[in-house]
Amino acid sequence: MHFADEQLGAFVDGELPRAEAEAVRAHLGECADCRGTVNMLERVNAAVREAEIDPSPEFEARALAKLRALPLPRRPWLRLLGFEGRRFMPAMAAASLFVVIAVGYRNWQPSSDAARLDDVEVAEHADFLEDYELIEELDVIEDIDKVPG
Amino acid sequence: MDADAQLMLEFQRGDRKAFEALFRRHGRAMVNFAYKYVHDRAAAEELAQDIFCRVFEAAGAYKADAKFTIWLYRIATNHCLNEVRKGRYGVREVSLETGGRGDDGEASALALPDHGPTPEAGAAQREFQRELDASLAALPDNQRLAMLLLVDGGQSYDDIAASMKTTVSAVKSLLVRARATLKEKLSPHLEGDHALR
Repeated sequence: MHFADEQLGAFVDGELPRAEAEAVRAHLGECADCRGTVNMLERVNAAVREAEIDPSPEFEARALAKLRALPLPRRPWLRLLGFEGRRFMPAMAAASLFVVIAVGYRNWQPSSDAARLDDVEVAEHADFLEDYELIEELDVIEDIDKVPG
Repeated sequence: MDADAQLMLEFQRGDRKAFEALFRRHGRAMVNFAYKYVHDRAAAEELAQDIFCRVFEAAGAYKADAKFTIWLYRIATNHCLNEVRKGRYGVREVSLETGGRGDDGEASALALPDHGPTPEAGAAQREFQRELDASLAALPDNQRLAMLLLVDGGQSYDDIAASMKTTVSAVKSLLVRARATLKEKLSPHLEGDHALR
């Protein structure tokens, strides 16, 4: 019995699961044909890997000159927020800043959960607001500083 | 984090010198990858240069948890495939009769490390180089690409499949066929005690 070329190739490439690789390794100790195939595959790999050309002497200077002429790439998160792009977008940038500050402020409020619970209670009894005449009379509160303690 | 990833992060922060360092580390490998694909030195250098321009422009998308060379070879694969499909670079025939030289007399044979101290061994090595060059050039594009990504790029089957936008089983099949051809063409050279020793 011999292993298929695909399996022997995967063995050479380190792509076989450990148990299967162990089985192939054990078989190679007994089978000269498969050992020859593995040897050949390794030598083909080595031949392709080791064969090289030298780039021309001008290659590096030419490539670096081209790279130096390129504008620096834009950073995606800054572009998304409007701070970088083909042209700076002040409105987008301002809107981004506003959103960031608003979200930060909302999350920063230490008693925000309690405040939200209070809001629920007020909302449940909000029907008194329909009696807005009563509220109109509350303008005395504007003079609260004058209220005797 | 490896040195390449570190350099990419520095480049993402605007340090051009970091990118130039990356180019110096991998430029030669890209020329060779492209050369083994198109078999023309000038075209290979142009492809390698363009690959680095693509990497430069796409640097913002690089994440340091990905191995840089995988990312680099992925871009290189896409670029080589696209350019060859556009017909911009025809894969040049390399014949034994021309001694691995193009019409312009430019040496096109791949150079193996010199393992042959005697004239006989040197001649055998040159013949092997020409055969290897011709055999690689004769492979179908996708077989040659899978072979180069495996051997030159050091990529896993999964990575090759992702780079070539195909399945792992298709990659295995491409490699088996490529190796069968290379084995057939190169075995007279590989079976003896020359060329690679």
